[in-house]
Amino acid sequence: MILDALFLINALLAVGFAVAMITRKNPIYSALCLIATFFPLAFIFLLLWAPFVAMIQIMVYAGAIMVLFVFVIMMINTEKQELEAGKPKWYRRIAGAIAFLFVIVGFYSIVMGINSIAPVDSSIKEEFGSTAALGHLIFDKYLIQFELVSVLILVAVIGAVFLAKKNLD
Amino acid sequence: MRESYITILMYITFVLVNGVIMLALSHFFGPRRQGRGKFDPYECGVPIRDEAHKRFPVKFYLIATLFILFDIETVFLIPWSVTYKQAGVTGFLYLLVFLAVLTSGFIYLWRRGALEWD
Repeated sequence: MILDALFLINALLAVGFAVAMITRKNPIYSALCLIATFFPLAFIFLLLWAPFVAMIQIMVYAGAIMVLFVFVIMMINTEKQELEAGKPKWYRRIAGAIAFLFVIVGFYSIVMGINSIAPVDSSIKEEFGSTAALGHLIFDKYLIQFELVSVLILVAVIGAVFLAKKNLD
Repeated sequence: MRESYITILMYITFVLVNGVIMLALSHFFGPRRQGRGKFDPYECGVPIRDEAHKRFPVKFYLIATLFILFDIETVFLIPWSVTYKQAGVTGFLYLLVFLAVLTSGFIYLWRRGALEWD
């Protein structure tokens, strides 16, 4: 009962901030709304008994990825005139109408297919999704993938340094 | 274990309610003085010369990217630290392999001078 209520509140908050994010003209406000979307999302992860994912959602997404977004917005350097000059053209309205139709259809199918809004399946074991369970999986079943992640991050480090330093030299 | 979430839920609720109450009180009881200075980014100090929308050097971006990458590295240490007893020596060795690959990247960027500001 209280879980349903918490889920509904957070889901509505997340959707609301997401809508606000795509309707803002100013990209900085969009970025702020994006941060605001991450927090109810993290809470929904918590309701799914996945505290680790919830913490990562806040630490990595709301903290770190957001910094990148703000940097990109500042780098692209949109002028005020460009922001105000975006009057909707006729094809944009048609595209908007089609997109809205998709939203209606998707929403309809979700509402029809839903049995319960309770995010917790009681058949799942209690420790499922906990940080310890994740640790066991990482060091047992998904060990190769875990080691490959380090290679992936290594590639990203080298790529970032190479791209940025090439411009400086 | 799930019952322990109630404590953090109470904590979150308390923090949120506390913040809302403080903002609401200052909204309703605080004095309002509208003036020209209210719309400036800084109310006092040197007059503003130009727009804040400026291009930033790519160096800031590089530091931010590297921070995120090593942030993710740290994130992977957390599941290990929770299960280090069960993972044992082999788990520690697996973790060392993971860290060794990333440390080679760290050595690369150090030698390349990516941490130098100029």
